[in-house]
Amino acid sequence: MIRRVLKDMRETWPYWVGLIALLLVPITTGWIYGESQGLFDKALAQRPKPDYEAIARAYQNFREAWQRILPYLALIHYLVFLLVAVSLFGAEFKHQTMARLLAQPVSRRRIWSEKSLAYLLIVSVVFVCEWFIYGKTLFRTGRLYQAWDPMISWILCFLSVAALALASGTLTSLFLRQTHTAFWAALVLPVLVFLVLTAGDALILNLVFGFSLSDWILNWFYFRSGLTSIDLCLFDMGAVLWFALVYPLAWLKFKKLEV
Amino acid sequence: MRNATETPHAIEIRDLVRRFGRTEAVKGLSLTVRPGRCYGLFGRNGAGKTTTIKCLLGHLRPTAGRIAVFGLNPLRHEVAVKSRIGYVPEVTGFYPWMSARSMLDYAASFRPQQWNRKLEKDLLERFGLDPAKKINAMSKGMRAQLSLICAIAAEPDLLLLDEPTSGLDPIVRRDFIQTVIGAYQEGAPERRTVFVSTHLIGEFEGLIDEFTIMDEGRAVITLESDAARERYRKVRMRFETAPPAIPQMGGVLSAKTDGRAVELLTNSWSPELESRLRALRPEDLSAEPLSLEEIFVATGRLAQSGEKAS
Repeated sequence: MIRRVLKDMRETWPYWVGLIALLLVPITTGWIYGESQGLFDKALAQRPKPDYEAIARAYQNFREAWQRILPYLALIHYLVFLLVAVSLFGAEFKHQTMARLLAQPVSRRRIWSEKSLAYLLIVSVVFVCEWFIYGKTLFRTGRLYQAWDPMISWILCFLSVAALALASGTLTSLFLRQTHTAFWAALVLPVLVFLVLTAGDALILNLVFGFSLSDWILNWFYFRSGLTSIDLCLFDMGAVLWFALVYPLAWLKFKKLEV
Repeated sequence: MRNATETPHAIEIRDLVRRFGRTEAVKGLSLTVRPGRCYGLFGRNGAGKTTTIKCLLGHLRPTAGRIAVFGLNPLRHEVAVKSRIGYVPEVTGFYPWMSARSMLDYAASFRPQQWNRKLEKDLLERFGLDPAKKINAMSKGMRAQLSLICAIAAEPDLLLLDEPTSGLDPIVRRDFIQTVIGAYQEGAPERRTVFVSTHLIGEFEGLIDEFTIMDEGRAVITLESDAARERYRKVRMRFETAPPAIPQMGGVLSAKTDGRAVELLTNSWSPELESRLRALRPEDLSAEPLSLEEIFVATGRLAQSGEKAS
């Protein structure tokens, strides 16, 4: 099993190793830390009586830079995870190895599980690397300030992105039996569904009940958690729902796949 | 009918039908392959051979009919059936970034208990394949050889070969067929079964025990090779003068006259037919068995003329 999981990880390495390398760019160029890193170090050196004003300034600088970069990071993560997800099965079609794979004495459920595990490991490796690149600093600033809300919300967001990409990429690659079109289809599919749902929501719920279901769920979550911004909360919920619907559909497609 | 204590057939296909939309690729095919046999499934391109093999592997679901491999349904007993099958697909697809070594290790990871490392090494040496060589640097012949090693090193009970030699040069083909497939069966002749689909029948001439010729999804004939060579004959007659008109005779597929010579193709050679032909008083009469390829061509023509007539 390990050999097969490693094979799937090796198949997609240019994408996820590329992502890790890309994440190193802001660090190595000093763009995200900038002056704030120096302020942190200076303030921490003054323990046990640190200069809280200096730490606040450093935290503010850091947080602003972080908030600027995060939406782009989320998008990059989605694109890379989508490439990985599409390649899990798409590469088997591309290399014409699907018939050979399905002729091996393992069940389709096992093939599916091993490919999912490979994806999970890739996502974990990326997140662990991110932790060492960004997370430690965020955690340190959070501990100092007792407020690490951006981190929590964005960790959830990245996990949602990973789940969204896995479900969409797997489904489209199994239906389209290759990688390139599957990638573009997976990219636009959630957007199209969201547009259709929004239109449907506006037409049906607003007309019948006078309020939108999404408004109601959104408000409930907003008051309950208070941790994440409303947009991210909605995104996470949408991603989980999408995953719960699309991933089993992709499995059914693979279970019945004819080659 | 077999009873429950008998060893199940390696392959048993009954009234197999497979449709793709409105196209019927296989139309009621039935055949039986006993363990230890080398069975040929012959037919032109599009005859339904690959579809049949894919149904055997469970890659395609039959529209109708019944398939059993070693007595098991390949769709219901997926793992049990596949653990006894080695498959060489028509398209030798591999992961191009892998070396031969890593591909073999990957293939072995599916059957760690069955994999015979010694056999793998012997085959690599026999083919002169460098295990460190990357697959994307290999020729088509080398890939076919690697594909065969991947299938044989697990020592399966049933080797399914789908057009294994198409596109290979004659030297590689000879190696592929005579040395390897022959040697594979010799390892345990009563147990190891080969099921080969091809239209390059001449290549498998000496190996095939029994065969079915398919045309447009149907089995045209199924015969034991020895029986086929007995029955299918090319009869050459030479007459002193202009040959007489050849009367209608059952089993004569074609008759060709060239000067004083007449050449007949028959699928029912027998002493009765010989005596009827001798009654025409030829100066000389000889009957040679047809090769499997000639039988295939003759049957194909017959099937075509039958379709035109109908």
